[in-house]
Amino acid sequence: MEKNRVLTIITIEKIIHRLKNDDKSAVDELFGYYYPRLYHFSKSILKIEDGIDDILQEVFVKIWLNRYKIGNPDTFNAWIFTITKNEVLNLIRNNLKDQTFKDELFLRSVAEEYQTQNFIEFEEIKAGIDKIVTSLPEKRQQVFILSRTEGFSNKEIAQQLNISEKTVEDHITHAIKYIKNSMKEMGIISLLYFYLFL
Amino acid sequence: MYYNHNMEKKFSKYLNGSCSPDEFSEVLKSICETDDHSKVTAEMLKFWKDTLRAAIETKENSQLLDKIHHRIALEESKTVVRRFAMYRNLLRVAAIFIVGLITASVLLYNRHDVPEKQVYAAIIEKVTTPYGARTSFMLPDGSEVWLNSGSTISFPRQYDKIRNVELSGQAYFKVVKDGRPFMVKTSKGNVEVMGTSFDVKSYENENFETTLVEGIVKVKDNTSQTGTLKPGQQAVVTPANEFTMRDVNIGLITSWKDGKLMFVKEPFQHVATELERWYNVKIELQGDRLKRLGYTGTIEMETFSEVLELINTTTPIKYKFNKNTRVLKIYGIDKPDNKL
Repeated sequence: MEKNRVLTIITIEKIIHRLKNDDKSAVDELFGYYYPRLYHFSKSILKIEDGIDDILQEVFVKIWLNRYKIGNPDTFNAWIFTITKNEVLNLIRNNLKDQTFKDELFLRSVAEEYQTQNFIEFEEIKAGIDKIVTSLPEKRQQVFILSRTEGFSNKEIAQQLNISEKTVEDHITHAIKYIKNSMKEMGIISLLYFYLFL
Repeated sequence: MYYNHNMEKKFSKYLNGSCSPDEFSEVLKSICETDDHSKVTAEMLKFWKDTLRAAIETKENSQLLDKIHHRIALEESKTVVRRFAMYRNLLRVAAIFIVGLITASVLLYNRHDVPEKQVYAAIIEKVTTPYGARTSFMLPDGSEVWLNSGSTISFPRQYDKIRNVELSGQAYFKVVKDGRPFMVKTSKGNVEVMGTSFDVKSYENENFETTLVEGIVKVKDNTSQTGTLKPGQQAVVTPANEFTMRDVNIGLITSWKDGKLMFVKEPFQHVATELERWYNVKIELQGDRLKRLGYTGTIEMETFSEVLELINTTTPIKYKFNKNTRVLKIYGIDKPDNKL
């Protein structure tokens, strides 16, 4: 990994050098290296792919226009981060006025067990989930807590528990199913309760 | 189960799609803070550093890369034009020379990278002239191009079996013979030649006109109507796709490339359109009769105010020019128009 990083830095240094010499073909290599990374970065935050290419087009044009001011690879990476991050944040801020975008973002960022058609108070769901989780089998409970409480990705959990990523996914899918079913039962109960007092 | 409150966990849950609704709203709130030192920014920086180190799958997007090269070319021509605008009326000729020179040097520079042939074939160069500017330069195969105002031309850095260029607007081509066909593509039709000099005009909402100066060209419009031109002939395709061929005065059609606008009994409406592009102004003709007037005259490297004076003295018109909006209003004077 460290060796690769050194190699990468040398490559980036070369690209920067060529950019400063007005070599337009250096843009192609810059693109080859940064585009997949910037795309991954932007998509993870934006969740929605619409508009990412427009943002990244701006980023690459800005790099070219400011090529004489580029410093070393580390400051260059930090600078690329700043311009991309600002573009991404601006896009989110502008799009948040749009309810469909907001819903989509919610759908893709919020854990599945919270995605319910019922208009139950979120606090109520949370309390319900907390209770149901304790009755999950031990391993499944551990995986679920690492994901939902500690915020680890499936890959990280797999590494920590020394199990496959697929197993982690299965545990989580089953946990969600179990929680949703249990909540449905709870929902029916509360609905009956509601009718009784009407 | 307890819920952790620090941003690091919330943000990674946001990335992993495992937030609770309240964590989601907190991340969004932090995103909406325009403060540069917001907590979420720090988390994003960490995520960016991880992304740089991670093994990311390669992802290609040659269309986007083309767009970036186009934008870069456009931004650079803008810089030149901006400078150019300051001396617009004094240094028109010099500026055209500068634009041409810059483009030429870009092309020359690319030439000594010939070994990477395939790479360069995929790269598209674009040259755009805004209204009020014209340029001329050499294509990768040595053919010469004059590009009129408000036109865009794109071509690969390296030609393959066919020499392709894409054009919107007007250009004059002096194509060198090298055994490969040379093809001008426009949104309205294509012109194919071997080695010759010709003019192609394809502005939006106007006739598609191809005029041959020497050699031989084949014109094919979007509805597959074709015609082969002889020198001195012009193929015209109207917006309604009527295809006609006629004999024309070549000097009149191609005069623009030598910095002249020549008109012989040209409807005033057309003259106005040409002037709009040539001088980057907006012209409003007041009254139908004025539009039907014919104008005859040559405009050669004059400043816009000189042109106005010229038209004013040679035609029965009055005009008002607003320098800020660059809108020129032309009124006809009520008297018989047989003088023109």
